[in-house]
Amino acid sequence: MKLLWAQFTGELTKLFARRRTYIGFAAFLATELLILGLLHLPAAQKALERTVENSGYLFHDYYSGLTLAYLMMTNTLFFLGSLYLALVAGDVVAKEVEDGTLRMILSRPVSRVRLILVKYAACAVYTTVMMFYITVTCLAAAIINQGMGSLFVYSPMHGIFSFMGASEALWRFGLAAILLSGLTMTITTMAFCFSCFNMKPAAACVIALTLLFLDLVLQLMPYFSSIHGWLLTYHMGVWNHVFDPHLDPWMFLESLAYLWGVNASFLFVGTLHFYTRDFKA
Amino acid sequence: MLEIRGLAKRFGGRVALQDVSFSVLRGSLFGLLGHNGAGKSTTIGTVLGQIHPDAGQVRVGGHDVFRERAAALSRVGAIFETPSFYGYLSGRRNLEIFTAYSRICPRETLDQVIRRVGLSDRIEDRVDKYSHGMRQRLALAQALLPDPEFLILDEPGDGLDPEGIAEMREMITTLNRQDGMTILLCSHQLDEVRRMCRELAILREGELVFSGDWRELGHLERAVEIRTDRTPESLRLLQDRRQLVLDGGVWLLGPGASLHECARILVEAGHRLEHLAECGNDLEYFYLRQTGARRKTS
Repeated sequence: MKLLWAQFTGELTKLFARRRTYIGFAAFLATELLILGLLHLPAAQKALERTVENSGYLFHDYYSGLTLAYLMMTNTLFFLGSLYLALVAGDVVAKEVEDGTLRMILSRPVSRVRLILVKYAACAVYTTVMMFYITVTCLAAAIINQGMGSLFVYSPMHGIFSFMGASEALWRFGLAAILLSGLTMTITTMAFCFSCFNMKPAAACVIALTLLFLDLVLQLMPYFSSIHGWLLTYHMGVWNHVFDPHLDPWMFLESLAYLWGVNASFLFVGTLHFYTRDFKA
Repeated sequence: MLEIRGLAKRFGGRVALQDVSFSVLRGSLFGLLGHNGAGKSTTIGTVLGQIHPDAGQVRVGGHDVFRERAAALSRVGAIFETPSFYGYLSGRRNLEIFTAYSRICPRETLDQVIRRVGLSDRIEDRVDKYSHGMRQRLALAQALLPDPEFLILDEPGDGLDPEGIAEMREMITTLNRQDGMTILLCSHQLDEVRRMCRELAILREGELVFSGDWRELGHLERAVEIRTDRTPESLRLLQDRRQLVLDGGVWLLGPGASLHECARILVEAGHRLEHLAECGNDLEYFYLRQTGARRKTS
């Protein structure tokens, strides 16, 4: 157990000591601040005001840090989040093969399956840290800028229209961060799986993103509404329902179960290939 | 310590290894030679379980590398031609990370090995600030940290300056003689192998062409070098007079022949002799003969 812990912390050190791991963190912060600035433009404020006041609520009460935080999260998370998760997870095995460090590790008595699982666990930590970071920075930036206030959520795509007070909203943001860590592991797992094949790190990232965006395109096309239940991005989007007036835990569990089934399949395929492949100089 | 039996491997249509068998005895310093692409790295890859053979068996310390990986590699250390590290981490953290895949290593042991390879002053520096020689020392440290009984060295002196090569040689010899480590040394530097190894295996295009003690082959002491104003003609003349025989691209003194007699024949025939010498225990001759390469005997 002590040895496993040493291996796991070693993998975390490798992941978090690299500068490129932090590109995603820096990019997110910059994007959040940019969106925050743009939401202050008169045109954006007018549109938001119209939506809130048409529902019979006072715009002043709901044009708040919490509302802006939700808007920032929902608009940045999928595209930027998937990009940086895939970038880091696609690197984990393929970059080590490219650099030759994996060959040094594989001269040790560790089994390949164990090595892959330790690396995957490190990726899971990165995914969780990234999702909490996004949630916390969105909330912090928006609250500092606009004050706490109350939360207004309007998402036609997910059929959500809700208003809630600050304390209710804050724990829902917490729940969203936890849920997002589980849901976005699918992006990480896909990139990680491709990283186990004989390809460059960038290729692993691009293939994972291509599959993901194809999935999103299918979700956005109305002709495929009957197969939404099979699409990964559909299930990844259920975190928005954390802000529904009435929470449906079964919806979350169903999506998590589906996505973790997909994760297990990708992980199995990646591990199987890693187990059987040759590592040459 | 190492037993390789009937090893075969193909990469696509290319044969990398074909029915390779040899053994390395416990406590020996064994050389593995061959041209580029002869199969040395593939052999080392299979010994470390990094390359799956199509046929054959590799046993380290009596354990099958593929079926009992943990037991087989628990006391094995390896250095590769170009040692790779995490450049953004310190030398110490690199050692800790690599060692964690073998065993938990106490800090004192780590410090002891760091001192032994002479890296104490720079061990907290980032590895991307290290010179090639320092990286080689760090590679040696990571290979020594599992407390190995068997050390695999793939071109350990590659890229080192003469001083570094001498230091590395001394270190290898010490590890073998004083610490009793079994060492498999894979190198292009024949002179280094000649100085250190008695036992060796030679690979040619994936096939084993020699395995054993190369110095026991007495006839090698009779390899000669000749240079005259018309060398090819001189060689033919000496061959006709049964003074020289051609063996695998190497000219050897024939039975009962001597350098003195060769010189007399050439001078009497009017050839201007520029150089005539016996090569003695020359691994280069031996190696070229085994690999079938031609060397100018001029």
